Amino acid sequence: MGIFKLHPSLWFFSGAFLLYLLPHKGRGILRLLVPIFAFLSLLHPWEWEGIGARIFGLELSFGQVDKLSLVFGYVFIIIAFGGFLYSLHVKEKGEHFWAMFYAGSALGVVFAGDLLSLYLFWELMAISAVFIIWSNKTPEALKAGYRYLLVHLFGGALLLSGILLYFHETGNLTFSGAFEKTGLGRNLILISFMLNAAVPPLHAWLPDAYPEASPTGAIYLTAYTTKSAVYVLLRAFPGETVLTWFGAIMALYGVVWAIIQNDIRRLLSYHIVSQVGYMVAGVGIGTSLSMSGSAAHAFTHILYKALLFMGTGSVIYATGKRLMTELEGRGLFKLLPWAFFPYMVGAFSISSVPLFSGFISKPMIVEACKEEGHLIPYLLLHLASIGTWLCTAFKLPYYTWFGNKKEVPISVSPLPLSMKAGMVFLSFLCILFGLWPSLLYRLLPYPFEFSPYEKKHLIESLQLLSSSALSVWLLIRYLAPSDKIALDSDWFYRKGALVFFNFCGVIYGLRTALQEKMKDVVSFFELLSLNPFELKRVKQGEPISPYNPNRYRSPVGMGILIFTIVFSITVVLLII
Amino acid sequence: MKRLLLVLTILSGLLGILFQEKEAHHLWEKLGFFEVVFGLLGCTGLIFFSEFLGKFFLFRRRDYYGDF
Repeated sequence: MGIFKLHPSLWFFSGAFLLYLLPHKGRGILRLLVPIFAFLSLLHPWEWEGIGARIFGLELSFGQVDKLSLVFGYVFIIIAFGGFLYSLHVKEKGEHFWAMFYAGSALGVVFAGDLLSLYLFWELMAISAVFIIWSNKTPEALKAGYRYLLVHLFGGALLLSGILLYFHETGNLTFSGAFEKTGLGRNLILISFMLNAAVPPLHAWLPDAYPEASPTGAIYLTAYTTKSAVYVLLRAFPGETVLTWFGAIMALYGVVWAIIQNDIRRLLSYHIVSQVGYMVAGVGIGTSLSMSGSAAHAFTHILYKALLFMGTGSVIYATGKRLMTELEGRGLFKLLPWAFFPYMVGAFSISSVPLFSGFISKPMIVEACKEEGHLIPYLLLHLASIGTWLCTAFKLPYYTWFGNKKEVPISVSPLPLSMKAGMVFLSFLCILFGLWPSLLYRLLPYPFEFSPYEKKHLIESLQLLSSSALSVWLLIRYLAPSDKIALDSDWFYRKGALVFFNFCGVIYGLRTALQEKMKDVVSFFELLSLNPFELKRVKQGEPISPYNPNRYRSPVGMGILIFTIVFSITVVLLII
Repeated sequence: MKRLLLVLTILSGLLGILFQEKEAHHLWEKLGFFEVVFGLLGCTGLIFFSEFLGKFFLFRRRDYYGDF
């Protein structure tokens, strides 16, 4: 059919502009229809595969379709639908516009067949994300948005420099397979991809910015930037050994920092860092099982992470509070069960509990890591999964919905139907994929043999989950949140900004001092010009008599008169 | 709750010993209850290590960054 010739991104881009022409109800219908039509386009990829353009002699390709791009495309559209459903009640048009643009740009990245179109959509994604953060309209969101923008402009500059150098080195701009092993250009591209994947120490933009978005805006943020980075790493850097180590370290780093957070969405943001660590490690291991595992984990992660953010976003929407120290012991379980149960589905999924979606994807990477003999990364990933379980399934829900009872009342706004519908939709998907792994496995790009519901995996899972749950339950009081923030690598550019600001202050002081000195010099010359005959007194700082022009007027005039007479007589004599 | 978790942990350990793997990648996998030990120690270690990091190095006042 003709309408399916439209590239999936175009549905979102055109939908974004159409939003402004429609009333609130019409916008809601449009926002639900756009992902459905984009999904139908995705089911007819032959209709738009290979589309592109030619600019300044360069071939741009927007329609690179294969199993790898399709699996990311499916989940990007599914989560757009989930996010739009969850936010149907929101009347703010700006956030909807940029969410549509963000989803369209992420799809553009996934189907880009050359580095220039990849760069174009990469930057559009960054700009859209900034506006989504700003849509929350709080002073914190404004500041976090600026920091996000600066970090991603830096990342974009790295990517563009890398692309130009790579083109200079190889004469090649295609983006279809692993990069050739050449110098600086390739490495700059890798670093820029790692920045978007939030690999430490380039990760702090994520837990800094995501918690500042609105409850609805944050849903989109959790889905696109880091996972499109995982996609490009899978395509361009399979088997890059250093990524195994970076991935394993970031998986553990994320959970350690998550444990000490007080802000519920910042805690979950650190778990994005951690979970993306598994995916990055899977890319680094580079086997069919690990890379399919990375794609599968990106897929399931997008669903359960959005669900976790929906659950916590609902708490923030209903109470206006985001810190566990403010929420603990207020009896929220009775007041907000609609936020609790979907949240727990997300928590069981992220923790790889059997029958939930994470159980079918995360063990693929951990198993591949073990099979390939990466012992230390394997242990780090394994330890990180304990941290995920203790934090998302115990600390956060305990200190948000339960906790030591306080007698201070809390007012709770009722949740809109759309929020509940969004959470039910994603809960259903998390359980569906957990119960029916082949539904996802058939979409994965590389062939593999893995069965999550083998006896061995089930027993190991049960052992790990029950023993660590016992440990948490005995030590739950040590997990009590503290009303503090925890430093991270953003310290360097946030305090660095302060140092820069102070440096600017010093430079300004120097300029002012120099200006004062120059004023003195000018004043000196001004004084001097009043009466050059009294230079000696001026130098000694003694008061001088002001210059009196009449005193010198008659001798100077007499001199000029004599000169004029002599000159005139000379001219007359010469003429005669 | 504690009792339930304790029973589950012991039960899972016994299941591991009963159905232990003959072909194991690592020596510890032959134990059958490695994950129980790893879970207990790993979880305890993570909690105390994170809290230690927080209390002695990372925690700052909420207004630490001021306008930045």
